[in-house]
Amino acid sequence: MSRIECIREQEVLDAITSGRWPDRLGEDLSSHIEGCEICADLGLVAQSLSADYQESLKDVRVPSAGLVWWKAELRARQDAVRTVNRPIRWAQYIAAGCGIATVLFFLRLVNFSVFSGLHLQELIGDFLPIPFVYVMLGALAVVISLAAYLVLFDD
Amino acid sequence: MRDITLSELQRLEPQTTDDVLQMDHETFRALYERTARPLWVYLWRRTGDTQLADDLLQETYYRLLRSRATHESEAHRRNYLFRIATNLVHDAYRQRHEQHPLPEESEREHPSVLPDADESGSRHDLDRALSKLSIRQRDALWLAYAEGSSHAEIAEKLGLKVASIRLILFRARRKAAKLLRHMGSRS
Repeated sequence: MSRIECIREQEVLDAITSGRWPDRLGEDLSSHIEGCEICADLGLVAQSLSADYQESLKDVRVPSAGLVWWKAELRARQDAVRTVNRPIRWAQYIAAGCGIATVLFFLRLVNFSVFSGLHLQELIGDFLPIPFVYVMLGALAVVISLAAYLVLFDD
Repeated sequence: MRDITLSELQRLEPQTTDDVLQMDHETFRALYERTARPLWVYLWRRTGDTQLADDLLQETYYRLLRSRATHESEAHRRNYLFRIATNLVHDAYRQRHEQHPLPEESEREHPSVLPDADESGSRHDLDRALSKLSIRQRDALWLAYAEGSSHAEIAEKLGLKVASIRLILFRARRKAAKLLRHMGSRS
């Protein structure tokens, strides 16, 4: 089984860290690296990566700690709001479902045939003009929708 | 029924939302000052995208702040931070390849998302060599020889066993060195 490590790897890494790679290694380590494929590979790769890392660090511009903290705090609060609202929203869905079920249940009990001879004109025609009634009903629908929106979505 | 709003929650329950972040501001600032720059470089060199690196940096610290994991030491916390970052980078790889499958066979095998602009020759060679390695090999090489992490630290950062790290590093080094020599001899 071939070796995957060499006992002198740390010496090679120390030479790179201290800036002695590749010219000031000393005779002993230099001759070892010439005969050790593991240390030769290590030196080449580690030196390339280390130099690249040091070069990259020079140009780094990271946001301030305060900004990162503030963004994290804001997002955490939004998540908390979402978590708190989840059961409320489910309760709303369940209530809406119950309401629809109740309406459907009562609709089944109503005998619609009694309305067949009844007309809007006959009911209110003597008191109000029909177009005015339609305008009033339309306005009422808009006001109710607006009120519902303002109550439910005030974020 | 009306939902609880953000401003109301801030006003009524400040202790609840403050508890959501698992670290106080000063501890975070100290940790950030020590880790942000190397972490950003890691994210940038692993994704090749400065905007994505910025986003992943924010996400990494957010996840750390929300995590309830306990840390025995500063080093352990730092390792945990890099582990979060590594997972986010891997997620970004997956998303990118799901959205934009690469046409070239060689690129499909070894996705190259390393920086490709404004590079010196040696950086270009290094990028090309690293792009031929697996994602895990690249992670291990970077952490070992750029960050200077020990085998145990790399294992913790990548969520692997120490014995596996030795083998991954050996194979990665051998392959990268061969490619670097080949590129060096051609230029």
